[in-house]
Amino acid sequence: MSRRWINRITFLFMGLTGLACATVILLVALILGHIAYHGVHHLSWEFLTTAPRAGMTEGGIFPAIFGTVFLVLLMTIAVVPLGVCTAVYLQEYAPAGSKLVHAVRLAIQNLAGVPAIVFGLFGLGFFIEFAGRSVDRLFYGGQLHFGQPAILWAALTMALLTLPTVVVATEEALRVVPRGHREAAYALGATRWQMVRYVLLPQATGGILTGTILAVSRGAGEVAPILFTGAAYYLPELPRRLNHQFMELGYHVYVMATQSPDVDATKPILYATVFVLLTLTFLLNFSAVVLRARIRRRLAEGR
Amino acid sequence: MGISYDASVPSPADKLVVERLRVRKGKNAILNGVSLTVRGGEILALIGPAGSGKTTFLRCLNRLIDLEPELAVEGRLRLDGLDVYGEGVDVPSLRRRIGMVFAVPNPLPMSIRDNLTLGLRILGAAAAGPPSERIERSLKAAYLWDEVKDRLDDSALKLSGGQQQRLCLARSLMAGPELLLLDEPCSGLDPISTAKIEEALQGLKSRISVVLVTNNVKQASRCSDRTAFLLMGDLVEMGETGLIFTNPQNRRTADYVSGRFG
Repeated sequence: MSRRWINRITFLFMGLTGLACATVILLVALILGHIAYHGVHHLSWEFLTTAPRAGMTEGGIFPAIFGTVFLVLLMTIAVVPLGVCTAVYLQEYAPAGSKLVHAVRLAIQNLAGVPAIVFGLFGLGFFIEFAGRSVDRLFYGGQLHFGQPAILWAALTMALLTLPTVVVATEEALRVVPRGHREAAYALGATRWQMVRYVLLPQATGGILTGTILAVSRGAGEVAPILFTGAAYYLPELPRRLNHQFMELGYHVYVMATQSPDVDATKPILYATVFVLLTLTFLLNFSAVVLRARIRRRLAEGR
Repeated sequence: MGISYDASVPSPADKLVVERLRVRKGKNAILNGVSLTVRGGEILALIGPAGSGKTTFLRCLNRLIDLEPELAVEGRLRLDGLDVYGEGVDVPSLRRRIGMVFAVPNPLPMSIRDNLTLGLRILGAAAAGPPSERIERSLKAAYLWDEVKDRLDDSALKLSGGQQQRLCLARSLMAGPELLLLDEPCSGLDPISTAKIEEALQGLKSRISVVLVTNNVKQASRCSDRTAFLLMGDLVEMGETGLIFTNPQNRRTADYVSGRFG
């Protein structure tokens, strides 16, 4: 092949790959731009701090923001200890190459591949029908308290969905701690738990936080898992207890987009809500990136 | 001449007795039944070419070898009469009696002070004396005090390689070990840092028995009292360092110490 042809092919590939990148950027910009263009002007302090009115054709989205934050907080409380403990066990305690480790890893991978709606159904079946009903039978004499959709069950369902994220991020963070650091602690007479506590966890904090924030941003955006487990169309009051239902941003978007009595009146609200939801998840993702960079730097400096 | 049992005076008794130590990895033998003793207050150098089992031997002494479950260890080790591989031995407290310095400096990503106090924090109690006193004593013993005394709260990772290794030495001294294991501690260091570590060892040996694994024959001749020569998992010869280097009994020892192989 002549030099000229090689140059042409090189140029062609550069063009193609560049074009692919440009398409990605363009798509993101298009989506964001469209939503921002239609959503920003409806944003106001009032929009963020008041409840919807008049069948969601007026008013704000405060209960949905509150519900989202509440949900994600509960989810974090559930998923982080479980995920971190799982990762520590897999990475440090389980005998290398054991069947159990293999099985747990496989389970986690499969968990990550399960469609979100299946988690929703599982939550309905397991948490509400089984766990909730059992709690009611045992503690409330069969009265309906926990055997119904509730923010607790929605948060636990969401925790299951985000569990792989936390486990994988933590495992990764533990794996990169050099062998020499582990041996230093052991040689000083550390038990395995002390080694984990004094050497591994401090160094893995960055990875754990990153995993947590990614889990949170995923949890804030998913709708399917909470569809049957606790999200409500409209509630006059904020959730105050674990067995209350709640409004949530993603679900609110879904409701407004599909079940609005007045589509035209809802539209600006819908755009503004999506804008808020996107901003929230982007901010979380961005803070994960910043946090990771900062903790990496701090570790490199060793403080 | 009377024998004093004051702890500061070297005891002539054997500190560590190793009998027929055998380590296998599957069917491959790494150590074929090594027997030797480490005396109280001496520096014992372990020399031999790469792959002769020096590091494996060392890691058996504080049972760090337990971290590699694929290695099978047989034989008897007694530290002051304690059966190191006996049933019911509390491995963490055994390791607290034995300091270890690794071939690659392994300070943890924390301050110099936190590195030093890690062992105390693991113990969970403030052992004899306030930590600041111990820190000073350990750092002085490791010939590092003057270089870091004004910046104990700086990151340990900001130190040079030689300083890091001396910090690791100081860290291993914090708990007041009876036995110190050094695994090629100077293999990556410049001559000045090496000299400082060797000097530190001379200062320590009155109180602590030292096992020094080294791939540097000259280092063994410079700073050890006795030398053991390991080859392919066998203890070929062991004796007073002067004799090993001037009048070895075994031809392979003679070849190795004179640099004809290895």
